[in-house]
Amino acid sequence: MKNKLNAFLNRISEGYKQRSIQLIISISFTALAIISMAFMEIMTYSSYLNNSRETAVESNKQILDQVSWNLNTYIRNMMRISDTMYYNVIKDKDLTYDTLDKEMSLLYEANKDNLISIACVSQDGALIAASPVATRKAGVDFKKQKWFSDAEEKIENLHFSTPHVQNMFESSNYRYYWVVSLSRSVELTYFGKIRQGILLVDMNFSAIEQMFDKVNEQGTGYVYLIDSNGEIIYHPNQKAIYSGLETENNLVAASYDDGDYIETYRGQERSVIVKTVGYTGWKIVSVVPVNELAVNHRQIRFITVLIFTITIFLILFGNMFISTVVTDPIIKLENSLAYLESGSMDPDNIYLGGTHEIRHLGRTIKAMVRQMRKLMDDMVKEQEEKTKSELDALQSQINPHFLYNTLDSVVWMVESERYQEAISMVTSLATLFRISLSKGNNIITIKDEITHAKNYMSIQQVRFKNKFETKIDVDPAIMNCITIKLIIQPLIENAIYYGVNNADDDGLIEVKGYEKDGDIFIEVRDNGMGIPPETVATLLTHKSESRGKGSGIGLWNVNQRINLYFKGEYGLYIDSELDEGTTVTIHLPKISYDEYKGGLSNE
Amino acid sequence: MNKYTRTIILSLVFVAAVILLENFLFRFLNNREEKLSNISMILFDEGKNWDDVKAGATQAADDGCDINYVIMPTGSSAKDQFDAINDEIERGADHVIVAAVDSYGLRDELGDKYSSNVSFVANGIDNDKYITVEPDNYLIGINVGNLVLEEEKYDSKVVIIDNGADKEFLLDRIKGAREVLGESGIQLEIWDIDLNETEMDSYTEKIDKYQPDVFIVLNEEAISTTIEMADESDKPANIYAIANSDEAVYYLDNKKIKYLIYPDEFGMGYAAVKRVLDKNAYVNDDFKRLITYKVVNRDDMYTSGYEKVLFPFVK
Repeated sequence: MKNKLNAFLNRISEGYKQRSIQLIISISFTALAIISMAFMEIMTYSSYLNNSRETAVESNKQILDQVSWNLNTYIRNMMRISDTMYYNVIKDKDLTYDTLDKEMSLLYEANKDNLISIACVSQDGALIAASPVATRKAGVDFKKQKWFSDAEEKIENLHFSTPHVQNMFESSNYRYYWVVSLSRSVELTYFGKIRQGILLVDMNFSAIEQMFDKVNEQGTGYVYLIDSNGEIIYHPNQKAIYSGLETENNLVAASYDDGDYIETYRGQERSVIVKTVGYTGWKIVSVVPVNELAVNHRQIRFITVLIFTITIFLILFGNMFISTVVTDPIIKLENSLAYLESGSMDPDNIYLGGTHEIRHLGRTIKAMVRQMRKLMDDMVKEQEEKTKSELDALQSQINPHFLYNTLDSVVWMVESERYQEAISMVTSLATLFRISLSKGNNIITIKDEITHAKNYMSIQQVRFKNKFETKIDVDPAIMNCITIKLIIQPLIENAIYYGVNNADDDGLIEVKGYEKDGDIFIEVRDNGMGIPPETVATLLTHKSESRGKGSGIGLWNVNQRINLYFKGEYGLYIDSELDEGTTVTIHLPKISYDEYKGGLSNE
Repeated sequence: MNKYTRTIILSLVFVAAVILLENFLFRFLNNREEKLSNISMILFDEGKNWDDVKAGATQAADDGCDINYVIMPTGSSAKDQFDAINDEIERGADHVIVAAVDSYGLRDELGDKYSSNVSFVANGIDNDKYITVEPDNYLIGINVGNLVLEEEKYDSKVVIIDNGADKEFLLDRIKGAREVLGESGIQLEIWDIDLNETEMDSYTEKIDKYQPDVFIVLNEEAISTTIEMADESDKPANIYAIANSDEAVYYLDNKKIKYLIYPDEFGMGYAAVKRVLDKNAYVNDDFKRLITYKVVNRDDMYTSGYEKVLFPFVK
């Protein structure tokens, strides 16, 4: 399972990585925004709900306080009536001579809005006085009434009954009254002696009913009243409860102390506030379903969801738009780079636009392409030059004119029976060709190059009938260093053809090799006619035309080859003075043949 | 129009569509949860006290639901009541709750086509397609019969007062009582009484001749007449009444009635409306079991278990 989950996450991660920048930006920012939004919405919504609920609970508490106050007033009123009757009337009367009727009637009239009856009963159950005057129902025994037995049992207390139907007096019009009875034991005076009696005040329960009805008409939820045992005294739905069609959590509510609670009843979460009424032990219970605590709960939820979805869509579209604006130039730049991939090096195809960074990137790429193109052009040109130089060098190896003249000289030697010289010349020619070929290598040791030059000079000396002398002085220390092949021979050739050949004096061609400042210098000096300065100035910069002599490989060519191979300051230097001679110096880096071979093998 | 402008316009259109969709869903869900707002209750016989049924129905109705009460005049026919049902439906009643004035006549008039928006309370039409919220009247009849057997002498003469042969609930009560008493050896007669007959003379001869010991009254409309009849008799007679009215309670309190079988008419009205407004209410309940009745005599009528039923605060 864990592996599968990891594999799934990896797939998402991989897929995510392979998506476009635009998609990644859109998805990432949208996901982030949605999470943040959801968090904020939930927090705000919860906070709103909690506040609303707290406010609603607080409001219900105030309503409950008001009801409690009204109920207490109702009860105190009963007590006041009872106290007035007892302390101001009964205690002052000797019932042997007086009656209670007048005062009782006055008290009843003064309070008849809420009062159903006042009655005074003797200890043996005889009716002493009652107001309004009524006939006791046949068969009614006061002593069997609960209010009577309660008062008789605890004479020091006031006893409040739960609401009940008054059934002591005859009713003429089918009317029955629900009353709350307050009974107390009283001292009745007969002949100056004290006897116990019971004073009963029956208050109309409809006052309580109206009180609660009024509260229940307003606001959410409902308020009901129970006694200390949980028996329902008033409930807005009590008939349905008595019918067994509805139920109430009244028995549990009876166990609550004063305060507010959250309870779940019949699958519904409800806020319950309980407050106990003084004297009676009755409890007022306020019930509000939790989902009704917040005002316009559903509307708020709808608005929250609406805001949430609209915001999400706005964020989504906003992100898409912003990512498009941001990534469009990148995509365009990417597309323009596709031209490069296809081989087009036209810098004008590179896209320049978008934000500063993208424009900068475009400009940089454009400059890079330009640079690359120049480098490539240079490389192509260089390669072409190199190829041409090598071709020229190759051509020099097989110069048919040189070969013809040399062989002609050999023939001449043989005919004149100068065999030794002929053998020497053929040997030199063979060596010359061997070094020229050098197994196809373009780089050879200075030793081979000098050998090549010696052979060449010895052949030419025969051909030119020793018209010049040669002198070779090369530092043995540089013999094993490398050089491009066939770079001395053209210089000797030039020295022969343009230097010593036309000179009146004996010609001298010197080849000198040495090391200086870590580089190698090879000088080819002749004592010929010299070269005019204007010609010297152009010899290395302009490709000279063959003037029909020698191999036709100019100084420019040699210089070019050295430059191509070794770059930098390496190449030829010409020092010439008319009628004095010319010195052409080859400047090469000092690289031993072993280093060179090692470098090649590393490559 | 460039790509950005198009994206912005599309986004706004889409957001507007989302707002409209959510608004529609909100209204749709609200409407779906909206309860019926207009219920009519057509009750038979203006002579009967329907206070408890109406109180129960009003209690069950939510704030947003109005109940229009139509009481058929005494003597109305099934056709009259059928017309009244049609009138109420045409007037825009979402549902009509009926106490059938003539069970069998109305059954023929109504057929099955109104079964979705008509239901019955107190008296049905003996058609399974229609829901009737009523107590088990047959069982009430049996209970009354058993009560008479327990309380009265074995050779007592019992008269069942029948004042509504066209009403199913009364027939059920008669059937139950008859089943018990008929097999007991007690002398049983069923007197069909026309309550519109104001002269007692027509019954005096019958009473003098039969000298009944017990009257069983099947509904409150016949109580006063029956008490008058009992008073006419030379021999004191006990009355067993099935009724739900203040008058009946008063008579019980004053010992005019020996036993009162008090059907819970408040519960009938309450359950009938609640079932219409809340489709989940009482779906698995058998109304004949749900709607109860109390059997009360003078001695226990003031006990807490009975006084809450007999003397409801709503009065």
